[in-house]
Amino acid sequence: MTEALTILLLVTGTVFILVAAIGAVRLPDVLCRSHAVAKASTLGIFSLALGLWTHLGAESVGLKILLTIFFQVVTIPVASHLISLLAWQGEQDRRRRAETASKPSMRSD
Amino acid sequence: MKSFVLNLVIAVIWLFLSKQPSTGVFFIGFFLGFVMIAAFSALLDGGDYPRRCLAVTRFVGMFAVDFVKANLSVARTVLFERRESLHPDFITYDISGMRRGEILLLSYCITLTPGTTTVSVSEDFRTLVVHALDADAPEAIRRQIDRRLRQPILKFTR
Repeated sequence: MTEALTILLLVTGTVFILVAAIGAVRLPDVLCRSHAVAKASTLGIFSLALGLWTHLGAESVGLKILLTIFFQVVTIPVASHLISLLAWQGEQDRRRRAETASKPSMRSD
Repeated sequence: MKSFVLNLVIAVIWLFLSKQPSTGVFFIGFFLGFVMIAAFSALLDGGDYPRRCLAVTRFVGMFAVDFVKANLSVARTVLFERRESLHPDFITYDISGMRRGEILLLSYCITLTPGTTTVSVSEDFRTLVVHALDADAPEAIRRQIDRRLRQPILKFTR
């Protein structure tokens, strides 16, 4: 039972991290990419850590895994926020709604 | 805040008193401490600690559901949607009247919920710039942030 749960959590985590990686390649600009990376990699690491927790058992590791998850959840959004702030302030190429309707090419504004 | 510290102290004392300290015992102690404080809240000047605690619990539960939904929607966008069907844009969100800590918490939650990330806070802490993956209906996004994040957060910070 625990083994099945461990496997399920590990596979879910890996899949979400893979989604984050694919998103970083497929999405059109920095800001859209930060969506994929911030959300998917948080949940990916989250469920990888939970998988480790169920594998090791609550007695041996205690609250350490929960602390790990807490720090991940606290730090990943900050990183994504800083990246998108820089992309917003700097003259990065970005895609806006008005442009996508007429022409799909990227343009800086 | 004072009541929360008291609750932690009770939990730690419970941990020391138990024969085999473990994670579960800590949570039992925390729960017993909560019951104790809730029962004697009229005597302790902790104010409305039990109500806030329940509001936090409800918020965390709701937020966890939103967070998983956000990931599924991001996965769908990344894997199945073509680039041309995205309509990303910036929208502004009014945060006047909120305290600094509340703004911090709100911007975290916006980053982790479906379709939106926080980009910037204005100098005077009155508007939040949010980037949305699908910004065709900015009003709907604002309303959703209002209903699902702002109101629950204000419920336990005030």
